[in-house]
Amino acid sequence: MMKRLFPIVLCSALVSGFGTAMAATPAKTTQGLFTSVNGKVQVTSASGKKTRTAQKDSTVVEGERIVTDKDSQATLQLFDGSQVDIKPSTDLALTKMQKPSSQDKVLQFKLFVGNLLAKVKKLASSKSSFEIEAGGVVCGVRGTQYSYSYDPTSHNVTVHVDDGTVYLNSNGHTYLFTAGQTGIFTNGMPNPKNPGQSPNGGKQGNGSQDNGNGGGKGSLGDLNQQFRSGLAINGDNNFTNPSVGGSLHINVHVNVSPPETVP
Amino acid sequence: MKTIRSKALGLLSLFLGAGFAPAVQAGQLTLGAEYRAWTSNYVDLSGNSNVISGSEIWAPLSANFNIDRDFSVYGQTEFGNGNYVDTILGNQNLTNLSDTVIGGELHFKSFSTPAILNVGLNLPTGDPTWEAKQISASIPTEFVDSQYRGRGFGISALYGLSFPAGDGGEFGAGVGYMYSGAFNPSYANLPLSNLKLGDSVFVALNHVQSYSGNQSEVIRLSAYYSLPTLNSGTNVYQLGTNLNASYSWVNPKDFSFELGAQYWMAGQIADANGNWSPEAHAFYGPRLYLNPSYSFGDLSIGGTLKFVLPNNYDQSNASYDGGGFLGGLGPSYLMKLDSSSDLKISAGYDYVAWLNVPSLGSNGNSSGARDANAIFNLWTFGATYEMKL
Repeated sequence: MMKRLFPIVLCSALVSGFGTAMAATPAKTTQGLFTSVNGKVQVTSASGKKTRTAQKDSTVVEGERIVTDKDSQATLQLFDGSQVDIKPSTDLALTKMQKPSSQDKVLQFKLFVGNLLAKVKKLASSKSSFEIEAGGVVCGVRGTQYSYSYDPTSHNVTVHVDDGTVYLNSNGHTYLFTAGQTGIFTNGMPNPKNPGQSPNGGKQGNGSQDNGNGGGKGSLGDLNQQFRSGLAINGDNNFTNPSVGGSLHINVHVNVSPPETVP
Repeated sequence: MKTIRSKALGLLSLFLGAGFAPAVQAGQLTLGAEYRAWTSNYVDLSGNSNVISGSEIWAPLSANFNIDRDFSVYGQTEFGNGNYVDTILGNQNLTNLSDTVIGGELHFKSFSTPAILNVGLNLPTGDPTWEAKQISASIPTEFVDSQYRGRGFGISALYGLSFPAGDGGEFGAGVGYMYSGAFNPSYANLPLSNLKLGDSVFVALNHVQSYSGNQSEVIRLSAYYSLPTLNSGTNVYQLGTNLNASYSWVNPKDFSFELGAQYWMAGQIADANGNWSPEAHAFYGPRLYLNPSYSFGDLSIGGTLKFVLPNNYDQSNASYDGGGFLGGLGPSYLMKLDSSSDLKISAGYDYVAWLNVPSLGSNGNSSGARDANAIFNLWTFGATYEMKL
């Protein structure tokens, strides 16, 4: 059940998340720990059948969902030392909280509505990830601090980076945002007013043809696709024309079976 | 073989060198493997019973790196092996690296609006004779693009601007230029040996409108104007202007399609002294295509329906092309391996009918009549591994 949406206000307080000390109550390897809870904050189990009220020093596990009331907020400390400030009127699912090895960690969240401030502990291995998905846009980091919000009514995803670098994946494209930048995505597409966006050209790289339908790239990415595919087609036409090299091309015949005779 | 290995190592070091540059912050590496095979009812005129056919194995490699938020570099090449049976050379087995494309893409503000500048270099790492050797065994390129690229040095540049157009919409406008350098595809059966394929000028306009649920529609208009193709500095051929229009509807979770048309105007053909005379008709007939696809989550199925209309030459004219059609279907499945990599498995089948080609009579000699259809069956199987860097 969705709460009424409130205007999204980006929080950009510069508070370092690195080296944040674990709370006195040790969490299990992949648990999250509420280090502060103000107001009404509810936690729904992975099955969706049980709901409990979060309290300071209580824990959450993978698959659970956290909902804050309109005047409530909470701070969740993760097993790796990263910290997520969950702002009022926010609905967040803990999709993955895994630690496959001593070096690796996989933290994935889904933001249904609301506003977060994430202070991410630096990732120690290439297999590690910290990602938040909202409205079809996946935001990932390698150790930084950023706020992230999603308004399902306007389909706007907003990211503001306080420190480090954040990447956003949307429709197969990666966009980078660095400290001080704000990015806005509408319906999974970069907002034309976006102050900083850097599409990397999709799955096949910038220099290739893309046989897809061309969506999700914005007008500039789509121009790239038009240019490349046209070069390939016209290059072939230049080469295969009979005046150039194609005279060989048409030197073919098809065998025709002799007509059947009726006795 | 040693040359091939050194080329491959050089390219790998280029990619890896870029990957370890201190300024690099993110990027993507893509490795692929693809098998293609086709058969036809073409007759091998060399006297044996073979029909024209081919099979290829490709290993494409591409990478891009974001140097900063507004500038990225990219590179791509592929290694291939092809086996071809045709009417000219019989059986051929070719193995080589293709040409390599490297370039950079810069995003900036131009006239107070988002702009892009993309400059690419086509490095001649490929075999320039490959396409000339395989062309007689290939499915005509009006139906299926040539996979191999070995066409010498080239430079391409695109400059584009984006203009907001209401809520969730934007217009894009771009101009581009492709320079083609010297190209020597000579082998015994190709009379031209010192080619320079025509440069081309590109102009385009598009409109992208996004909707809820990541849906979008794209309208594209573009034109290519080709400059003359030269042989040893003398005019040979000038491809007519190419006009393109298409409409796409994209729903990544449901049904998508692209409907488009391509049209070529008549070009010019030069005599032995390089003097032009206009083509009576465009050699390449108009093309219409429809690419529908449906997504079932990680599984999607795509199709292609393409019609190539005959050109307007009389069937008795050597420049006649009867056109034809292509119908294809292919599923693909995306497997998420971990948070930074995935694997895409794909397969496809295409049926191509090239209409009104010459036939051989029951005596084995060409009747001269264009009373047969050439049929091709193309199968593809591929896997693509993508990794975020």
